[in-house]
Amino acid sequence: MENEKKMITLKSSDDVTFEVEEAVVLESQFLSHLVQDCPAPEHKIKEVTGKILSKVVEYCEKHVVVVVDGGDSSSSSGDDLKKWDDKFIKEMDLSTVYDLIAAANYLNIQALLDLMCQRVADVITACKDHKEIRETLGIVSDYTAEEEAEVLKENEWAFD
Amino acid sequence: MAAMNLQVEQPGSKTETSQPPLCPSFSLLPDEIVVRCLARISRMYYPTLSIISKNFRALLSSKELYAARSHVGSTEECLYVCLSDDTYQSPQWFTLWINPNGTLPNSTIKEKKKSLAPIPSSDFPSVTESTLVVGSEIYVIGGPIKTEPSCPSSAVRILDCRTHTWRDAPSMILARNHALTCFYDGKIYVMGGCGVLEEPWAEVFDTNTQTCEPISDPGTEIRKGYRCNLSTIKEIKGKIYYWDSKTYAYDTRHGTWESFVGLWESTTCLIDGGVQYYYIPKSACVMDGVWYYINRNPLTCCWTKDGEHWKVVKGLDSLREMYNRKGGACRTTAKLVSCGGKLLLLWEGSMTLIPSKRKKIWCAEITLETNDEGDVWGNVEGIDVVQRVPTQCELLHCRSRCLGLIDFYLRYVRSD
Repeated sequence: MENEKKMITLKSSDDVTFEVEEAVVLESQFLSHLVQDCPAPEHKIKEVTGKILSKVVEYCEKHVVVVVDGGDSSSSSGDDLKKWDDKFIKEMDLSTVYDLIAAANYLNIQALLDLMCQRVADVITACKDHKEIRETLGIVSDYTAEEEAEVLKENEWAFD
Repeated sequence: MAAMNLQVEQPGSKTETSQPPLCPSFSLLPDEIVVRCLARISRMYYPTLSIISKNFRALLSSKELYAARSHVGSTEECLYVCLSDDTYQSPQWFTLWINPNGTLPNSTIKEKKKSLAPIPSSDFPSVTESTLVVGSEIYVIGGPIKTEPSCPSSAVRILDCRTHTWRDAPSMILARNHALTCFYDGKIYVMGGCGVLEEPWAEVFDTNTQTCEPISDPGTEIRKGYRCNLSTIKEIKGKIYYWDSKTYAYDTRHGTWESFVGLWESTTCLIDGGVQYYYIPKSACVMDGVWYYINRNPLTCCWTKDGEHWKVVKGLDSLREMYNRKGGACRTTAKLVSCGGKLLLLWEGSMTLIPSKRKKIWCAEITLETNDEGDVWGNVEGIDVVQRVPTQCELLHCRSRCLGLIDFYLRYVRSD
């Protein structure tokens, strides 16, 4: 009863192509609509580079297994999937995280977006103070020295 | 969340989408994404985060952030404390802050573990004991107003614990002092706190429509039997019960009143789900279906699952010693609350020998474990001074839980 799986080609902004099963594409709300509205065999995604798209595809392929073959011995259990997710985000540098956030947001893959936001949250809470957070995230404070002193004073119970 | 705008794909064998540029850095992430990241971080980090930038600070008190926190299920229980003293225009509210870096191994700052963080003033000079948690909001209901002599009030102020801002609710029909209040099914039932013959003796405030309506006359017997400072109030199966020695009830469906005179009637009407509520003291707190209560001198913590059988929480000897040494036993104001899966014991340090203008408020965190024999053991995780307050401040009152982001709070009000 196994039908031949429908394959779809995704092409990144720098023309790297990925051939994936349709089920993988359906993990993305955006691509689902695209594939439904326009049944072309190949879809170019100008906003996402090959490097990032490969991560997106890797994530979606891993996660689609659970939905499609749920209960099958080859499928990942919830715990395994969580371990896989943890490893997936830990190995990633922050600039890749930002790119993946943007890609997940653009392609509308909520679970991936949540996972990446969790990584940013973990990075923030691992910092020891506000200076380290600014440095790590590359944020330039827009407070004047006086304003910053005022906010520090407001929160002095937390710092003194 | 919707995908970003796109121009519709071109016809042909290939489709192409076009391109807002992607973000190479955190600063270029849209606010909605930053909010999704911040929603996964404990509120205890917010003081640090508010110093990052103006935008961070604005996002931290935004409605969107709390919507996102509910969405990802990262809600937290927080403790709110209210202090009143002659030196304050209005009672001052605080929230308990626990330093999230307290356990960070390589933290360079010498950490204070816990602290009471001040929040903006309510500008409402009421020292009422009628405060109620509804979702993420605290309702401060009626008087007495801190004047000489004090007077009742019909005003209701609401603290939004997400944004730490205050707003007015519509006033009650009647001005009251320390009225008994109970939240049930979207409505706040307010009883007494007024003269025996005043009308309406009880009223109901609908939190959805924000309107007050009088409740039917309970009759003279019930009006006279009411002692608001002593009574415990609880909703069971749509009836609002309150009791000290006798039990009274208001049936919210039929709008009728009942009184239960004898001990047997008064106790049996308060059994629900195998729990005898009649025997659970007003100041007990509940956590995971177990009620905890402290005797103050000597300090012992007791627990029950059914209200009837009480046992002592073991392993709290070191806490008792600290409590005695730091003045807890000299006063009668220690309060036990549950918050975030732990018990918190708050007490005032004694100042009998040092006539200084400030005294210390102490807070101990207690985690609980049940062993194989069914005994409950307490493990004291940290005892800190959380606030120094004017000596006249006194801890009088503590309330029970309801579901929501903010679950527990204590009140301190000055005793006259």
